[in-house]
Amino acid sequence: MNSLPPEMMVKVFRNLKDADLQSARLTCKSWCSLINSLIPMTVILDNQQKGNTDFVKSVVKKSVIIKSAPSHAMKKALCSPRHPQALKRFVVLGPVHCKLFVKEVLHFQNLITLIVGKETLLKRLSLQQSIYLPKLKKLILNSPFHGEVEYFIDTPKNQVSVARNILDFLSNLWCPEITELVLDGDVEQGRVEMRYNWRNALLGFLKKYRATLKKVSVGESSVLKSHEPSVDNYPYVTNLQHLHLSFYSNNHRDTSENFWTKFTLAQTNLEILNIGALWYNKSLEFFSNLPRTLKNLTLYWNLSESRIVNCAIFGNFIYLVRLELTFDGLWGQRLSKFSLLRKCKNLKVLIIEQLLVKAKHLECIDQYLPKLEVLYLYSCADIHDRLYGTGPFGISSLALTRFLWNFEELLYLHVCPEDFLGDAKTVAQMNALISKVAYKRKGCKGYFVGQEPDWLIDNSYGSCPLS
Amino acid sequence: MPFVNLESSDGDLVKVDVDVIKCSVTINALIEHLGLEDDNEVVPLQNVGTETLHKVLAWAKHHKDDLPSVDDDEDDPPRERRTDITTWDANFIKMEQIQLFDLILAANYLDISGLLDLGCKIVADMIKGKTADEIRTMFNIVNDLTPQEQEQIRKENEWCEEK
Repeated sequence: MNSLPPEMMVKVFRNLKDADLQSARLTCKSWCSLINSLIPMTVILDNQQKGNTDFVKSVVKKSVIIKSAPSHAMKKALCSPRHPQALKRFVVLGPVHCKLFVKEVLHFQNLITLIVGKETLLKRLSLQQSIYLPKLKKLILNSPFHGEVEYFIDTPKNQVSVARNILDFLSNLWCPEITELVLDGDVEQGRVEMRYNWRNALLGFLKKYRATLKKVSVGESSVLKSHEPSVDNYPYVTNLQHLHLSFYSNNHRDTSENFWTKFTLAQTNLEILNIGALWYNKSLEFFSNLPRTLKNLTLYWNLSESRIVNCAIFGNFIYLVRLELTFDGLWGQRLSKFSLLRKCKNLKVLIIEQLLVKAKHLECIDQYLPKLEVLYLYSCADIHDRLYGTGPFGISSLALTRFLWNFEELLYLHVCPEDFLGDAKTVAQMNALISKVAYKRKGCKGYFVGQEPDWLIDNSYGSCPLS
Repeated sequence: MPFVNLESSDGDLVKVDVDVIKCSVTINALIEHLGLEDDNEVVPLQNVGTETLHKVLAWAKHHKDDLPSVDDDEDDPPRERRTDITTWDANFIKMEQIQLFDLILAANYLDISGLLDLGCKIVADMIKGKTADEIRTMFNIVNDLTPQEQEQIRKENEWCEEK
């Protein structure tokens, strides 16, 4: 049989049913591995009534995705990974019979990624046995509390039962190799007992896997209301490298504190920190407790509170490679103490959105940040600057060219059209000019006005050199 | 009617109606690329022997009026793509194993999807309903799996069968 090459054997195998494939797997090594390669590594079980799978695609990009039939064929679909040992990634979305889900997951001994969607953990779980997934590295429990499926679990009773199920699931899960946990969810409007359950689930998990966890991403669940019973014994998460906290709600400023302040993050290896809408009266303390080794910092707010920016906390982190400051929403906050950026001598990527930057600062940015490779400015010019052309981008094409000319290390510059004083024709001329100047530099990606490139959105960029 | 001369790997020349061989994507591309106006032009086929070439042409002649096949969608479950093999095809494909493999290889080289599918289906039919031992005997395969590996595969199979 060795006279037929593998790609033709694949065609042969595609004509066979399961029972015959199993016999074929037993004939020899090459057939076995060939058939195994036909078995999907990723199974996505999509039982959503509505909603999209975009977030899943972003997680499991570049792998085989089998989308199962919705609704009635549930049990059949769950059994579809015929060779559970081969399954590496499993995604469940939408309401699924909980017991069945747990029973099936137990077979996936080589599972690396498990993603559980919003509605899946709704039905009473009552776990009797522990779930052992020895190879699991990535666990994503997505919030049932916001997004498109709110209609489904809008009652407090449902919220409580989801929180309890998450507590149940996390405390019964045994995954010694876990490195990444995403526990998304806005529990702001939930009951106290539910938030308490939710947070205990998270805390317990962090304690259990404090040595292996490297990336943790959580939503509202870690905000503690002052009238709630406080949780003691905060663990070290010793190997944490990447922490993502998003707080989108505006109801808990000043009255609440963030439980991450109780972690001693200073002694961790934290390199990447993303924080959204952090409002509470100890934020400065929080930042001063962070390790100085931080390389990648993203701060985004959806309200106009600029206290942290004004205190220029980024001045603490002299090893920063990437800094992203974003204010979505209210326009008009000014980035003050810009000169403190001078301390971040290693900065390669600077992204500023909707935050006023003074023209004079940008003019000397090449002296401030000699290693800067990427500068991305979006809606940063003052109206005054725009009208009177005093900003470095507003003056003229000449000023902009001079800026680029003097700044030899810069490989990518983005300025949004609003910040640029000139009509479409000027913009086009500018782009042409810039590509002439810029492409002489090795590795240059010098767009001027254009789409945000993929590699910029991925926030791991910055810690790696430009390709 | 335009003709094209195909030269087999054995060095034999076969004159073929372009209309018959249009099912081969490879030859179609060659004709378009070279613009074979001249009937004396020769297309050498280094991977196809005379016997196999005649087989291919017999199949192509019979199927020349078939509707062009729709492109295979890899995402389709294989069961849905299965179509029954016609009596003519079934009789046509009755041949020794070694010839069958040569035919499949030729169909692949000439990029004739209909013939390639037929060949692969026939090979699949040969595997159907047989034990691993029988398959090995039929295709002369050496078993290089250790007993432990076989045990492991059986275990995985069991999980599937109980469903």
